[in-house]
Amino acid sequence: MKLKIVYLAFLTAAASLILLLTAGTPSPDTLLTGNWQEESWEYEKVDQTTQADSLSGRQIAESVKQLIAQDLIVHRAEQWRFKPDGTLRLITEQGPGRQLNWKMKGRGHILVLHYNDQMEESYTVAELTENHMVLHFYTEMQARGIAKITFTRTN
Amino acid sequence: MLRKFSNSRSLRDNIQLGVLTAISAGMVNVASLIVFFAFTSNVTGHYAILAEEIARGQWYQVAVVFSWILLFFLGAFLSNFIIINLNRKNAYLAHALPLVLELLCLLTVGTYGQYYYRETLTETEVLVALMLFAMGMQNGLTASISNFAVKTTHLTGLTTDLGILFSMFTQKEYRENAELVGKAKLLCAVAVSYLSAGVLSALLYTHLQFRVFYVVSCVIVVVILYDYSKLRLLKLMRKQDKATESSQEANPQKKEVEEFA
Repeated sequence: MKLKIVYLAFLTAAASLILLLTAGTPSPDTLLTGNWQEESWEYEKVDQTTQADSLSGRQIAESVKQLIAQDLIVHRAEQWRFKPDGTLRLITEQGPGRQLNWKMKGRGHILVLHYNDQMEESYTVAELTENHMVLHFYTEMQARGIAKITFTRTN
Repeated sequence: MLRKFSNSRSLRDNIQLGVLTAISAGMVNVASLIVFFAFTSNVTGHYAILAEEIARGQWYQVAVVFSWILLFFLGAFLSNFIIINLNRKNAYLAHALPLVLELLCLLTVGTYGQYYYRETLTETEVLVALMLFAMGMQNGLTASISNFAVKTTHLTGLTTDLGILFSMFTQKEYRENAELVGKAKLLCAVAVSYLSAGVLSALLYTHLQFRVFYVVSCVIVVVILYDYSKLRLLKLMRKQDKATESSQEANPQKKEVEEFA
């Protein structure tokens, strides 16, 4: 009898903790919806041999960014507008651009983008708070591996 | 494969069970990684992620990952609970029931994924949880009935054991130890099955999508029915033996003639 109580208490405590945490904090897909402004494109790591302490070594030059992004769906967007219905509107300097579909996978740490049901890209959501988001993606450019896009919320 | 318990199991029983359940675990793990970007047959990585999310203060993710680990634990708990409570009444039923529940979980994932999945985060989290529960049950069953000799959902312990065994095999006395050689055979069979099934799952997924979970379900059905068919065969043979004995008792002269012949 005593053992049953201990087991039930453990289960109830675990379930309550899960409910408390999920109810008290917004899920990643809720946090993601809204308008995000691209702030910077950077390499996640810098070369040890060149300008290791300098920010300029980390920052991706505009020309390189264009080169990296030319094969990406998110090519040359400035604002990303995530809507709750699962659509993403990319807004460029020239005005509204491509409309994509977005999905979150895993525990909300993967952002999958679809374009025209043909192209698919996945980004790792490295950081996601109310006002700040960092996406990582793999690039072969200059063999530096991971590039990151930093965003701030605009609404 | 399922009827025998603990030390009464032969190496062959363990290899059969290990290979088939490793196929199921390997296929489920790779399919879930492709579809949901989450591992579902092992929880070592989830413990590391849980620690990382706690350190980052990402409480929603903490809850999700904690619930996944908890469900794997509950799967193993339920599996062994069924075994220790039903084993004396009906060993086959006690060992088959966790697999039937696992089968139901996998069919639910396959059917829901194929017809209703809209790829929302909540759906993803729930389906991953269901698969972790199923894999917890499978691992609990195989470990429990094989006296912890067979574990097929994660390969950390298995790879460690293989490393130790192959290091031992550098000395002749261990190479000649049949028990150790048998253990190495079992572990190699499990590792190869898990890996091959993972590759197969990735290849099949491109054609079958969520229907790949039906293929895994078929493997589980084979495990369940293998012993059931054997049991039926044994019953049938016993019935025939009894019928022969009673006919011989009823006609002793015929028996004598048969014996003479």
